[in-house]
Amino acid sequence: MKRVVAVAVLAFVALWPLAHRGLVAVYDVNPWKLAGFAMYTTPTPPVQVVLFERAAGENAEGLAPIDEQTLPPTLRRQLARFRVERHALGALRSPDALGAALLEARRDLEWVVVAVQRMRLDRESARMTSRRDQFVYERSP
Amino acid sequence: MISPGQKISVWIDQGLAVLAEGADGVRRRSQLRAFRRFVLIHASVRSVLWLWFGSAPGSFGIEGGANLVAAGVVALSGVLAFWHRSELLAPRVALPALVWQALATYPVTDNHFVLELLAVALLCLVGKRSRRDETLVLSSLRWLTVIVLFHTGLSKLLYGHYFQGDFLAFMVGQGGRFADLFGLLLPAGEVARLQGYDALRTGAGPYRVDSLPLLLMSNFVWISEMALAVLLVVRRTRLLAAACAMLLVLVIQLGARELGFALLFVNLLLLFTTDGNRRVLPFVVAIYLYSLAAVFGWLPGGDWLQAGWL
Repeated sequence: MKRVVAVAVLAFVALWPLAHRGLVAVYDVNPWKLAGFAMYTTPTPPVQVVLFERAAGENAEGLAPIDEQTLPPTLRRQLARFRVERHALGALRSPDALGAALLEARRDLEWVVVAVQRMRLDRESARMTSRRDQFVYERSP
Repeated sequence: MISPGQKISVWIDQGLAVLAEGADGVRRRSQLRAFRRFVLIHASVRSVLWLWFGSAPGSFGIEGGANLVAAGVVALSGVLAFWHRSELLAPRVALPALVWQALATYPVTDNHFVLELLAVALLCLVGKRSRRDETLVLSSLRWLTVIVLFHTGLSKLLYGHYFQGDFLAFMVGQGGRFADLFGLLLPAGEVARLQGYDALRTGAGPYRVDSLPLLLMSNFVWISEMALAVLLVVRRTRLLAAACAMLLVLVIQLGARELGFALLFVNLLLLFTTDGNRRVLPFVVAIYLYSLAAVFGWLPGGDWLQAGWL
């Protein structure tokens, strides 16, 4: 039994980093996190998360950033936590709960947008590239 | 007729045996005892620092009373490891608290902490006066070291930012600890150029330099990590590889300045020697005591050490 446990630990350490590499490629997981032993391999600047509002009746071009200081403290903490977790987990950390909480806290808004931008170092050009994902949350009728 | 399951079992035994050789029973026990004491002192100091500074880096769940209890349990295990009667119990006391810390810091748990957790988990397998267990655990800890060292090199190869020195150039561009070390390999103008980029702006760069010393250093790192991992497995080259790997870790840590990781990995590498862990333990304990005193402001160097621990 002890030998099985020891071999299981070693098999995990040997194989998990390979699966972790797949998670990085598919879900944009942070190479430095989740026990992939890929720290100091590639830069991972913090993700930028901006909340946008779109008041009822405005068109799609009328997006404006939401001042985070106007949000309740619990929502600000949730946003801070999302930033950290998204940085570690990539697309595995969905902003759905944050979007729902934002709509709940700001009942004057019909729509909110959670924009997430992460930076990577491009292997070919050695320049920073960005990828922006936008998540739109609409109040249910 | 041997079944496939039996073949795998034999193959695993042979694999474990490769790194079990090189120490007699008494020395094996002495090595494990010293490493057990080290890793539990290491875990205790880290837990106290997490407690003192309110949280693990970037985490949210480690604050509060549960953190105090976890730190207390880990510190208790550190004490138990120094008594012969309770030394085998010590890692088993620490493990649940370490698992809790890992869960509480998820998903930003450091790889270094995972390595510490796995080492303690393996130490839990040592039974009372069981040579077989001691051989299994010593071999497993050595394999753990080899695999992690190999993966750190392999991942640098796979991500591809070391061939032309891009990662080191980026880190120099960020200033601070890496720039202090690797900036020495670049002309001042190149350092200024790299540090003039805003890494959060699309198109910033190129983080590429025309510097042979930096290029050689960059490729030396990942090649050395993979090669030394292989040489640690070969009995004839094991000691030399362990010494070179320790040197490599210490040189890299001049840039990374992660004192906790450096001590942990050096102690894992010392398991490849016959008596190294026991010999260095007093010095390592002294470093930890100094670290605590400095971080709390009683001795100089606190800022440097805090950055290296947290």
